[in-house]
Amino acid sequence: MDFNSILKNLDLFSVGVVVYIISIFGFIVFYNNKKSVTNRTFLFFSLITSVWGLFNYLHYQIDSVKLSFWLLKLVMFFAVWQAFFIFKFFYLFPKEEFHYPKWYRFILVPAVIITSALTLTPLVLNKVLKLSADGKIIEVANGPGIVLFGLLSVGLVLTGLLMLFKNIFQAKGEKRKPLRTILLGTSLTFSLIITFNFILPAFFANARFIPLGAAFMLPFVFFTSYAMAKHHLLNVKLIATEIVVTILVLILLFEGVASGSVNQVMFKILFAGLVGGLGILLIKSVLKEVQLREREEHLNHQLAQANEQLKELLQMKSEFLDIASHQLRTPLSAMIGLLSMQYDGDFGTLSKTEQKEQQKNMLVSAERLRGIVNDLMDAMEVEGGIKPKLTKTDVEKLVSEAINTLKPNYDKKGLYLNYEKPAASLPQVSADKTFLAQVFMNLIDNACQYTEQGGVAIKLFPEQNGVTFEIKDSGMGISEKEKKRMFGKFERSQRAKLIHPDGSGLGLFIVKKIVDAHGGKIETQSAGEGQGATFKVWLPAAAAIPVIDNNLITIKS
Amino acid sequence: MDPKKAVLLLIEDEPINIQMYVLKFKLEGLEMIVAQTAAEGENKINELKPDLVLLDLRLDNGNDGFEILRRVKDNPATASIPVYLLSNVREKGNIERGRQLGAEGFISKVNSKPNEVVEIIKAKLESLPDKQH
Repeated sequence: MDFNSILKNLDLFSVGVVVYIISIFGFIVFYNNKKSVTNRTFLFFSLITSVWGLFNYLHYQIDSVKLSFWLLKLVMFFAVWQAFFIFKFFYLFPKEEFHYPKWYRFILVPAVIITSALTLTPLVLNKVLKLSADGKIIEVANGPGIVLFGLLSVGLVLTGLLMLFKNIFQAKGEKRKPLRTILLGTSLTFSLIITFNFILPAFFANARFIPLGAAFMLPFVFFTSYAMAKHHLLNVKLIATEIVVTILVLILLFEGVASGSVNQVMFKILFAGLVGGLGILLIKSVLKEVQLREREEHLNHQLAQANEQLKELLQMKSEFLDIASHQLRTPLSAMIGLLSMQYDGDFGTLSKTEQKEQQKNMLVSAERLRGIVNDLMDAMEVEGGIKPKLTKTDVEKLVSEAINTLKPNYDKKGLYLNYEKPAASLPQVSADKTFLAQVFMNLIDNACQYTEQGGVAIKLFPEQNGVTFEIKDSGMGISEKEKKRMFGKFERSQRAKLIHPDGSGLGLFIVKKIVDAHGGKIETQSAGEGQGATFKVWLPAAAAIPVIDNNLITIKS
Repeated sequence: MDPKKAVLLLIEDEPINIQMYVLKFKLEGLEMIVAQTAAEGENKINELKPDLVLLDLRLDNGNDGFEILRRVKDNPATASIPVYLLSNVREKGNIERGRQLGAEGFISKVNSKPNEVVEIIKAKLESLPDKQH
């Protein structure tokens, strides 16, 4: 074989390998996560690039001008789709799901379809103008459609790059790295394309490398796959094994095909097949190993999470013990202190009013201590699950009583407490009066504690064969995150601790347990931090509740 | 120094406690200045440079007491003022933490009667040098 034909075979071989590699990468990324739109887009991009690469090479090799011209048109056709998928990839990365907006479905995609269809008509590439010495196309007349082609392709690629830059800029810390790697690969590919496909032919009349266009895609494909691999989006070991095996088999095949005698060809192809078979076994074992390791990592991760949760729980418990012990000791120390002073005769020098004052302090402290002990007892009681003693209850009465008890607290803080009495009479509820009273007390007290300005509006109304108690405050509001945790034991958000440091973190926990035990529902609404909150408690009407009586479930009305 | 001539500062937010300690110290002839918030407490320390400070650990926003202690001891102008932690928090860990931050002592309110507190403070004041006038 002479030098030129060796070169030609090398070209074909290298283009073939490149095309194959790009497709393999595409499939690997796809199979790693079939459901992810990012991975699927990458697959489409690689496949289209492969086809484009092949046609790009072939159109320089084919002797027939007509066929070559058609191939050139197909190259343009696939170039449009390449630009589209590059844009889509940069736009989506690294999302797994995507809801396509209207402009995408009704403007972009149709535009791409139309433009690519146009490339096959004379509107984009009109006709062949000049041929080279050996009959290859070197100049083509462009139709008016070339403008659309240029704008759309360049526009898509540039916009895609813009998306990539924007994502890099907006990403923080860890998330930046894969994006920067992709940018590096993209830049390399771009530089290669610009140098070899544009500058060299245009300014140095060297069109030698244009057929190898596909190879210039490699940096982009490699770096992107590396980025996805390194940041746990793919597995390097598996890919590496697959690539090595594939290349080995390819080389053997090519060598076989290029051999002299038929015997040699058959032998070498068989050998390639054997190597391929062994390779597949190897890949399978690597896959298994990778899967085992991933499972181990997953279990480790779960263990770490469980540990974290346990630590958090212990921390909360420790914090709670600190608060609880301080809460209990404060009124207790006041009582001991004052009583010891009285015993020592210290109050003898005080006036009657001053003595009364100190006695009041003793009493108040004792009552405060009682309140805290009650809270703790309630919490411990409801924790295991409660057995309410159900009787027919007037919710209205309990709410009025709670409001009367807590109104002084509102007055002290300068908050309003509006109560909208129910318009019609409310159905009675089957409830344990003591427990239910606790629910209203806790909620109304909370509203006061966590509101600094404005006040609270309470409504009571029948709803869905039951009664709803609604309390709306203009207080610190509740964030989405806080909403999820509020009803847990000892749960206190950072913000709550600032406004009301002495809270036990048990109030809402107790409320929810009681409401649940009564067959009711509790719901929280808040526009967000600082925007107030609304709590709604729904309790079923008396007739609707099955009452468990000596292991017999009867419906009492 | 003569305890009756000392300037004492109590940083405490519970009104009942304030009344009780101020009364007790007054009966012993000791005048006590009171600050009810962390901010007020720090200001008064810097302004008045009291001879001794009684500091509660749980003030309006949580555990500000330790912060105040640290800042007082870090500031060369106030570092020599003896600060007693007068609190109801659990002793475990907090006594040591206070000691490391330079507190003079830790008095547990619930475990010490008011006259015991007065004894400790008086003893400390008497051990201090007389004031230069």
